[in-house]
Amino acid sequence: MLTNQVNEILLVEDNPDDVELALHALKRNNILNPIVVARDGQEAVDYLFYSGKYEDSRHDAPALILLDLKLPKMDGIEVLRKIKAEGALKKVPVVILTSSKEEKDLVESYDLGVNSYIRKPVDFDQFVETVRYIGYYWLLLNESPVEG
Amino acid sequence: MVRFIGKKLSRTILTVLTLALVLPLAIFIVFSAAHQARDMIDEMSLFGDDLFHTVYGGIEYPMSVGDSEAVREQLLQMSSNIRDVQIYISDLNQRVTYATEADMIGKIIDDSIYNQAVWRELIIQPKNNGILKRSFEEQIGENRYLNMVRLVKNQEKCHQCHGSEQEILGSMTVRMGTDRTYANIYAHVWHNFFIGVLGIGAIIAFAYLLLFLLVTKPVKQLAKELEELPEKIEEGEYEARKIITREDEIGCLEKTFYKMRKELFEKNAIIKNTNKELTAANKELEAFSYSVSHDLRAPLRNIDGFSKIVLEEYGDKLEGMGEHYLNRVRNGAIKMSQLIDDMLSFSRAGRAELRLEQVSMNKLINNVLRDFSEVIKDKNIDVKVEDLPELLCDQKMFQHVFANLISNGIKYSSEVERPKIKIGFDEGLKAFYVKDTGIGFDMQYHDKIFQVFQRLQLPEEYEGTGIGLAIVKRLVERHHGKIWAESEPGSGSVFYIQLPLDGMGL
Repeated sequence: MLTNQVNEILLVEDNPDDVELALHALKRNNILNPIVVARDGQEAVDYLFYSGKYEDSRHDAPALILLDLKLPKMDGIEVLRKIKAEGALKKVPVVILTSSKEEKDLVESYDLGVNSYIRKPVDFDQFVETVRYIGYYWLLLNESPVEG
Repeated sequence: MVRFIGKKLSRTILTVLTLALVLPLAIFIVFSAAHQARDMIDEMSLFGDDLFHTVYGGIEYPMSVGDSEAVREQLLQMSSNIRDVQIYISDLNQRVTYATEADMIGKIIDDSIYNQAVWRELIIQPKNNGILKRSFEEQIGENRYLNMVRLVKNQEKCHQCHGSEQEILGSMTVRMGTDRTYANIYAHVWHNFFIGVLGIGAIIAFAYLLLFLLVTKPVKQLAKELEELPEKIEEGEYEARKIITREDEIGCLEKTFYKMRKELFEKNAIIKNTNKELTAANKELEAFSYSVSHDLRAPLRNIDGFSKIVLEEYGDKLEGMGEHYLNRVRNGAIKMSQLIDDMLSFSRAGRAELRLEQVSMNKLINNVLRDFSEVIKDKNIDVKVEDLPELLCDQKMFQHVFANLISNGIKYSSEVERPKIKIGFDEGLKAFYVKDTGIGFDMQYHDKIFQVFQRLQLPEEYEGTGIGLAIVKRLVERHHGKIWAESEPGSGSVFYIQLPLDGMGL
């Protein structure tokens, strides 16, 4: 699959097994964007806002953020709130990819302006299929305003 | 607003008092009036008798000797002394020879003086047996009189020397008007009656006042406090109970009330506390189910994911049953995930907030059936929906309830020829029902089918974890309703749902 942007995909996921499976699924679907993994909410925020260990890093805003909700240090909702409150980052599509579909989480996420909310299927075949849809839609089909 | 019993109480007491006092009063007045009348008439009779004797004594001799002048004088003298009394003396032909009214002399006594039948009776009496005398009361014209009539006998000692030899010379009548007497009696009766009514009024007023002070007022006060109690509880007012000095039933009532109120305040505090604890427990449970849903699923995803990767990428290195077993591992993981989902829906069914609204059940059923339209067509199921009443319920929950029952009906009809499903409302039972012609079940397992993860069929034959009916039961019970089934193996089943139709108790 080709992408017209080489920007990274930010994967926010604390479980190493899930990270591995997600990477596997992305690879399987030929999604070539570089993937940055943040292992907790704080790390994700640091990466996005150039703070902490990313203070001196030079990178563009990611093309897509895959965000888990249940995270150490700072949970996904908080991360989402920060992203959607910031002018430039607001335009980056955020897909929540999580285990639960609690009504409360769903409502809160949409209130904060999430772009998509997907519950990770247990069946790996379905998960691979899901990742394929996400990549196809948000990286290829969907048009985003180009960052200046 | 409290409708105080005082009004009813007063009315009852008033009625009882009135009946208890007025009735005896009336009876007393009637009896006393009758008694008085009798007494007065008796008295008059005695007076009349006295008069009679006096007159008779005075005229006995002159009459016997025929001294008319003396008789006349006697009578005139008397008439000046007594009023309302007429005296007539007549001969055997009832011709008045002497009378207190001078203009009556020479006239014949007729019915206008007194009833002549009495005279005739008197004159026919055996002539020598005692006193030939009669006393009676009668109405002549507009007036009432007491009459005393007696025959005047010839005195032996007189007629031996003078005059006639007749045994009976004539009659003597004393007539007294009784109207004035009766008027007196009536006046007396009215007087008594008036005094009685005044007395009764006073007694009732006094009783009412006593009743008001001793019963109505304190009870009213209690009622008012009772009415205000919920508000006070709401405001958390724990005022000290007032001092009760009464020792009677009302005091007892007040004591009980204040005791109850105290207990109510205490219980309310306990309930509030318990509620707090419950809310906390519920929150904890929610957090727990959240983490169950989240954390238990993650490892399952890993089990399935890595098994799949092994199968795909190292499949050629697996020998014998390796691939088969790995697939079993994957199935187990997916099954486990399904169970977690079901458990969570079951727990959610018990906790979700009820959103009640008036729902057209026909509309709701049609919506549900639309979701099943494909499978219904595929399996050629004959679905019938009768006219259903509206229901006050949580629409989402009832959609779930009927979706589950209908899907069960479809599922257990798959092996049956010409399957039918009917949804209706039983007017007698006031219950909705879903009836199928599926495989049915043995009624001894009736309660089991509504329990969590209880199944009567093998998983290979009919899919599902056995949570559906447990959730349905929970949702119906959230509405204070009842669900039950009637079935027989091989002859289909009917599931009934009975709710308070007007939403009472919700």
